[in-house]
Amino acid sequence: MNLRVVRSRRRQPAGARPPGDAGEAGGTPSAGASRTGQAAGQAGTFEAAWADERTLLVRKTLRCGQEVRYPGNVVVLGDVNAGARVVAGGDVIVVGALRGLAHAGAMDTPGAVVYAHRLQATQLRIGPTVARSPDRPGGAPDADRRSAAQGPEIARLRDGMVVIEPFPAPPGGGG
Amino acid sequence: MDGPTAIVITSGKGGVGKTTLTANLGTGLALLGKRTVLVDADIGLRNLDVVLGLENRIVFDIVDVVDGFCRLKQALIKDKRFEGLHLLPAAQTKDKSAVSPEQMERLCKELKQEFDVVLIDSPAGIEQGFRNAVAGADAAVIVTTPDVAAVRDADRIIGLLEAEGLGEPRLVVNRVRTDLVRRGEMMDVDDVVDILAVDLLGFVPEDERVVIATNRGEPAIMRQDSPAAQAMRDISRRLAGEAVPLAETAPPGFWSRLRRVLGLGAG
Repeated sequence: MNLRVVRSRRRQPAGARPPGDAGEAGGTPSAGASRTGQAAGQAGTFEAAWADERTLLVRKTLRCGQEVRYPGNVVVLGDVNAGARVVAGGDVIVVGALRGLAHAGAMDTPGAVVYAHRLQATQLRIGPTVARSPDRPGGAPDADRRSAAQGPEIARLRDGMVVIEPFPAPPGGGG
Repeated sequence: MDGPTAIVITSGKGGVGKTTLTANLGTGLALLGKRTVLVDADIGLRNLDVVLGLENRIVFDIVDVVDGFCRLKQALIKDKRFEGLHLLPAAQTKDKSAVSPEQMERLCKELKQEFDVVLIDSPAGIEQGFRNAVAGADAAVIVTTPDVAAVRDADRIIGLLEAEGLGEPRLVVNRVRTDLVRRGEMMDVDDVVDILAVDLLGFVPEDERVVIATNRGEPAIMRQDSPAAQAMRDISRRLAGEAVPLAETAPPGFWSRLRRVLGLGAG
């Protein structure tokens, strides 16, 4: 099992732009259902409420081109498909497959994590740090194949790097 | 199928086989005794008439109808080979803005008074042409190939259809290359269904006989020697409301799964 780790660090991640940039940052959020729309609507409070403990429950699969932004935590009951993105001030929990982009701790909330039942993200951002999926030799469509799926995993920052580990940690294993 | 239905066939990406599938499924439905009309919503890039071999019979088109230059009946082309199959051709000299979503809605309503099934062939893309095509539809069929880019676009389209109130589209995975799937170099049908998470209406194996028939302007669905034709006949019957099990021959994912089980996969 290959541990997918970060290669790059950025001080100014694209997801953490000021609220005014929200629309420009992520394609067209208009495609989302009303719930998504509400989340986008709250982007105005984004910066002030970085320590927000509220949680947004998204009861659908986020598809390519759809985006959810929320100052607190985001729980997705469904998949986050490639081309979709979730930006949260707090944690991002995906009870399904995460194939798109997730940004947790977007306002530099300390200790933010990304959890997914199947973590196959194109790109993970935690706070100011960006991690991308490993390059695929020969462009084999591994990320789109179920065979690439493993158990639930959690991604968090450790010493400035995004570290992905099985969750819960295997007995006796320990990171 | 209860009562007349308008079904849009759409994909997002171009070149995945929407038009060929529309022509064949329409023929299949007509052969099942459904009064069927095919609507070419790809205004400015009309193809459906060519694929059906009816190009030389076009007098009026969809824009003439919505603009009131002719009556609907005058624009409809009856396919003499297949009882009950009709075509409403697109205009070639106009563009997508020549028709509005409201006009399409009205047109589909009118067509449903005459026909059991209205099959709308959507243009590629997510702009006005797509919005026109879905405006009058009661249901949607998503066509994709097992290519990463096509699946990505199909996913986007499903999201857009939800916003249009066509929340439960059904999926056709087209042009499945069993040889590539077997070698693990193409997604199998289950992979695609796993990503898109919508009901599978069927999958069609790649078959050059379909390409050849399409170039000749005759539907391939009649052919008895073609697995693709068999698959499309099954899809027509499912569209008509029959319960037809998915192909019992080894599904495309069978060998790759077997290899995975045996630990021979490249992991």
